[in-house]
Order: sequence, then C-alpha cells, then structure tokens
Amino acid sequence: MVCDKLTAAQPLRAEAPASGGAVSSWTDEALAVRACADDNRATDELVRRYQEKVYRIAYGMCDGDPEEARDLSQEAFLKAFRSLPGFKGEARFYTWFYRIVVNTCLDARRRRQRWRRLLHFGGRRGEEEPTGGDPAENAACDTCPDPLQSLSDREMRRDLKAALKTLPPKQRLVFQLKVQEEMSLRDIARIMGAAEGTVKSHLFRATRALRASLAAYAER
Amino acid sequence: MKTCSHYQALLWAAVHGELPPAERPALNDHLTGCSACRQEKERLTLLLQTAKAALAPPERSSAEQADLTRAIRSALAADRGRQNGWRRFLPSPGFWRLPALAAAGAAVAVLIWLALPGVHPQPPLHTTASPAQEEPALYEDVEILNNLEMLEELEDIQRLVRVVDSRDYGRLPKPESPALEAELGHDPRYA
Repeated sequence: MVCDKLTAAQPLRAEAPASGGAVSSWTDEALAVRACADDNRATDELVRRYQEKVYRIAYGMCDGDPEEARDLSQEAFLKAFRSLPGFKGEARFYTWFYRIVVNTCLDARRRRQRWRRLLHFGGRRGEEEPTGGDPAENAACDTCPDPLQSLSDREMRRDLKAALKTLPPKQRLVFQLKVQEEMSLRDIARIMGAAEGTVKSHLFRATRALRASLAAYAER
Repeated sequence: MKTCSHYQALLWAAVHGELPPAERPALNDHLTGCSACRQEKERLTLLLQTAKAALAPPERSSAEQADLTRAIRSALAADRGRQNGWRRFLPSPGFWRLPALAAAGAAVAVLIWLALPGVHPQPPLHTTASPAQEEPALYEDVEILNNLEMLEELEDIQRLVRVVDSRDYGRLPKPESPALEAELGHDPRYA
C-alpha cells in the first residue's frame, strides 16, 4: 500500500495518536495518513480545515456561481481523497492538495468554455455578467458613511469582477492565490508546477490588466 | 538618476509583498521624493483591496459546510462499498502483472524468431527465365509452327490431286483426311 510508503518517507504516523486525542491538533500529513486508512475523523478534519479555502478558489474560478463552486469543492476533495494512496509525502500536504484544487478548477473552466463555444456556435461570447447580482457585491459598505462613496465602491467592485473574468485562467488563478489566499510566489509556483518567473509574469500581467481596466477610478 | 519606470516593477512587487528586503530602501527613498509614484502605490493598494473584497464569496452557513462534509463522506463510503462489493472477487490489479509480462515477452520472442533470416528458407524468386532455358523452348515452338504450315500445304496438294484425278478419271476418290472429307462430303462426285 502506498500509504505505507508515505510513512516510510516521513514518520508521520508517529505524529498522529493511534486513537483518541484531538484531531484538530494533528498535522495535515498525519491526517492524510489516517484518512488514507479510512479514518472518518481525519477525513472530516481535513475537510473542515480546507473547505473554506477551496470554496473561495472555486468561487473565483467559476465566475461567482455558488452552486458550481460547491460542486467543484466537492470534486476537488474527492479527487484528493481518492488520490491519497499516491501522495508520497515528498511535498507538503497543502501544496499537493492545492495542486489538485487548481487543476480541478482549471479543468472545469476549460470544460465550461468548450460547452459555451459549442452553444454559441463557436463564438467567444458567453462572458456575460450573471444576472441577479451578487450578495457580496450588493452589500452596503459598512466602513463608508458616505452613500456616494459606497455606490462608487460597489461600481468599482462590479467593474473589477468583470475585468477579472476577462483575464486568462492562469493569470486569474495566480492573482487570486496571491491576493486572496496571500500565498507566496514560490508556493504558487509549486502548486501550479510552473517556474517562479512565470508565475511572477502572470501576476504582473494580471495586475496591469486590472489597473488599466480601472483607470477611470484611479483618476478620481 | 533612475526614472519612475525603473521603480514601477519594484513598486508592483512591493504592493504584492514580494520585494526583496535589499531593494526596499531604494524604493522608499524614491517614494519620499516622488508624489506620482506615491499616488500609484496608493492606487495599486486600493486595487488589490477592492479585488480581495470582490473575489470573496458570500458567507456560507454552518449547515452548508456540514452538507459538503456529509456529501464527501457519503461519496467516499460509496467508493469503499464498491471496493468491498463484487470487485473483491476479482484478483488485485497486481495479480495480472506477471502473466501479462510473460505473455508480452513470449510475443516479442515469437516476433523476433519470425524475423530472423534463415529460419524460413525462402525459394529464390524467378522473375525472368534465363536465355539458356528459354532457347530450346523457342526452337520447339518454331518447329511446331513449321509442321503446321507443312500440313496445310499437304492438304492443298491433296485437293489439287483430287481435282486433276476427277478431270482425268471423272470420279473423285474419297479424301484421306477427315477434315477434308467433312469439307467435301456433300459433293456427289465422291464415291
């Protein structure tokens, strides 16, 4: 069993109590070993630790569709748990896991774009703003006493969202991991399996594109 | 003196928190004296703050979070159920590894054996006959053709003899050749 290789590579089982104890105090790697051995407590704890982060990434990558973000999160978790026997323990668990999440999101995005192209007869339309609005976007700005300022912020947020959607998937993902998840470029590079310079280039291009799309606000 | 464009990359790295410590003093010195770059830094900081807020998903309830956990657990339980179901009667994937390797090795050995020269002696290919073999056959053919011509001439001579005989003796003898007999059989002058 490959889980045994994991324990041979790193003595993780020693970190995890054989039974009892608070699973919340276990390391990710120890939880991974126990989850691989079908320990439901370890599985639940990993889901608890990562579900918000995974959901945020998925939400950003699926244009703010909560249902799709939920499905993507579930898909990513299941892929990770099913691939746990292949986790060698050479990288940190979160790097390995985020790579699965990122690939799941990028695959889903590619699938969606393919369907959109098919439905729109090969055109590149279909990047329309979803109707109905986003509760987060429409929420009043608590820190802005001025209604005009609040309106301006909401407009800017909406325009920024629209601009984010026009970014190429990898630029968008790098920007999201950097700005929202506050990861270092080195970690993003590890997760995406790319060179640090490439990731830096993606980040600067994304920032430049967003900066250009919000130039009108910058002049105010 | 370095221009603002030189500091732009440093500025962008700084707002993303990726500026190496060694380069910070130079950027700070520039920002102290350049209001345009200070403004640019403020704009970029605002942009990133707004982006962070725009990317944030709506708050999820604890029930929604529990739903996700439950869905994952039930999917994993279903996986385990499948593994413990009819699949347990099948041998493990590793079981087939050795027989598959043996079969592949045997197939490769047979192919190599078939490809070896001299294992199956092939008869030499003859596309054209040699002139030495062909010459006697040609002579035989020419001889047969000459004999045929001679036979035709003989029949002509025979016909001529009959005509002369019938003129001289008033009656034609029966032709010797069956072919000639068939040809001239209807003539009443023959006996």
